[in-house]
Amino acid sequence: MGFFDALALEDVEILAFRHEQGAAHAADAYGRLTRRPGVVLATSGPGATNLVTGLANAYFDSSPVLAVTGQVPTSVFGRDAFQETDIVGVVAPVAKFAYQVRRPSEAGPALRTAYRLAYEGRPGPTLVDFPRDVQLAEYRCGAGEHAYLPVDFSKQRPPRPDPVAVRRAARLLAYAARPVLLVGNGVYWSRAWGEVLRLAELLQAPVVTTLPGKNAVPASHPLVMGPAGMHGRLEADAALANADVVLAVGTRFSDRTVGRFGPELREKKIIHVDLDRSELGKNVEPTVAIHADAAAALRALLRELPAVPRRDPGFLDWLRWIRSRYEEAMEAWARRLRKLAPWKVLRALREVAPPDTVTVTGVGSHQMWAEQHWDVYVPGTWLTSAGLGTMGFCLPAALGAKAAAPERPVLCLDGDGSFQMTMNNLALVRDYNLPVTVVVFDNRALMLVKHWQIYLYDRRIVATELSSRPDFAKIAEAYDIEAVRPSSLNEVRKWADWSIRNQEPLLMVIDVDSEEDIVLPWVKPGDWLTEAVKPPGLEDLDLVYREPAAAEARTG
Amino acid sequence: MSQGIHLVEVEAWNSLDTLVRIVNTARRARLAYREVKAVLGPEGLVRVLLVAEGDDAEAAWLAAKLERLPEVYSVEHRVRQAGGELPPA
Repeated sequence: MGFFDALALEDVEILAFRHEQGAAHAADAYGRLTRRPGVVLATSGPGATNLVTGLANAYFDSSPVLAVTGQVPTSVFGRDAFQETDIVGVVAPVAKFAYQVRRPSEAGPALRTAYRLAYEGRPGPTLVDFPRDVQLAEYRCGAGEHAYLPVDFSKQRPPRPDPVAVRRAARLLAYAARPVLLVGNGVYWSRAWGEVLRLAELLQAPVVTTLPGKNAVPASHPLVMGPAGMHGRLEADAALANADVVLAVGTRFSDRTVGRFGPELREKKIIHVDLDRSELGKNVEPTVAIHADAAAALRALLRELPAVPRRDPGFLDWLRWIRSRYEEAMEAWARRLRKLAPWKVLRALREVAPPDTVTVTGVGSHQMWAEQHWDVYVPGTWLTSAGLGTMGFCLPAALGAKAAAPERPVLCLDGDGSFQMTMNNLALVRDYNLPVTVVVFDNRALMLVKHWQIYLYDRRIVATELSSRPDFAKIAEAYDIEAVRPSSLNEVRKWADWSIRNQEPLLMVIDVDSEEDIVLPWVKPGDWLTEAVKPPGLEDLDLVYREPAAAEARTG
Repeated sequence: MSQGIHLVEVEAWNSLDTLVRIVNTARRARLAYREVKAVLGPEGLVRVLLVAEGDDAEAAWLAAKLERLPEVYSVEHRVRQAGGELPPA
């Protein structure tokens, strides 16, 4: 309370979320969008522990967040006092830094240190815990006070790229038959999308992304194939699977991106660039490791690659042919569905949402459809929970994004299961004038898990089907928000346009048939990318590149 | 994969809280720990010694993970191959 009271005296605006998890997601989104830490405050005990999921989410997605928690007075530490919880101990494995202030003189240095550490180097969440007696103590900053706690900030600055490693990498890329760039969200933090695209153009190499890496390159570029992985796009899976040299930038090589780590991946020459040395060799042993900032490493590579032998365009042509067959098959599939196809709804929304619309997703099948079919045009406008896969992320993160960028449209693409986890935060829409457009893909199921139960557990459906309650329109009405349930794509466009143009909040519920809502393509856990289960009509499509056969298939 | 006895020495700041974070990190490495020693000094200094058996790459991962903790000042990782002597500190 002391802390909040002080903030009120300083006229700091506070958004009161209805649950601390929501506040943490909002701070996460604020941090991703502004590149400055979003700050979240919570009281001791349950207030602090409710933050944990949000902080873990920020940790796994490398997002800058500063959490400040209250704590019982130091005099009752360890006595199991009311709402005493060792929050520093609790968050230790999922925070970049956590510190408990024991003396008033540490308050300033601790907050400055935690704030700076949240955004310097690889971003991440930090936490400062304030016992009540420390909050209430009188203290005047002295001239001798240290600005920061005694941590080593120098290690947050990545080294310059090793020229020997850069030369080796450049040589591999120059002589590769099918080089592919794999882009993670480290490219966004480094603002290196220009370098990625220049390198891709120079090499005439396809660019594939991770799920969070969608945020880092514009989907409209002809060399960008989209995300690869468990629910990646077919042309991206094919590109990554058939590469002989992979330049991976700012990615941890998640199992969700590569399917499995060997033997196919081990046969490739991997160049791995990351500013976090502990990522290099963590999941995949690279042929060349470059410990450096992404933009600096890519600029060094560009300097080493003045001329590249012209490549046979056959591989790129084949990938584009896969894309075109994939799109045709999805169109045909959509026509056979009883209800609106989620990917068609996404395309309709994309038509009316301005390019710089901030798009946030929840976690579930809608997120995977969005991974495959939502085009990100402006880097930095795609916010999703990737590493932790936190259901409930969408709505509070959208509110945090709207607070960070009130002039821009914010679209929350959620699923009914994910939405129900944090929908209480709808209260903030009117309370603080945060008009977001919320689209709930309503299949009344925890569909991705049900999908696995259907395919991997002999259709034994356990605890993944939800009832028809609640009525989302009535929920929206309770919070004074317009709600619609469109029955056509034209209605989707009309209502989304109305909400975005007028800066009016909207809850749009898309009725999705849970028997038909199977996200394909899908690479089963442990399978390789070329073994993806493909959408109907593509069963004959071979994702293994065989040069003459591929050319023959394209020309019919 | 090369196996050995690994000695990881960490010097850090923030006393017991950092010791917890070091142990949190260590327990995620696929190593068999044989010894953990910690000495707490003045000004929050803490020195931790971890002795573990296992794959070299896994121990290297652990050392790199410890190195990235902001409170950690230095990490030294030495390996003794089976039957060999541990190099002096």
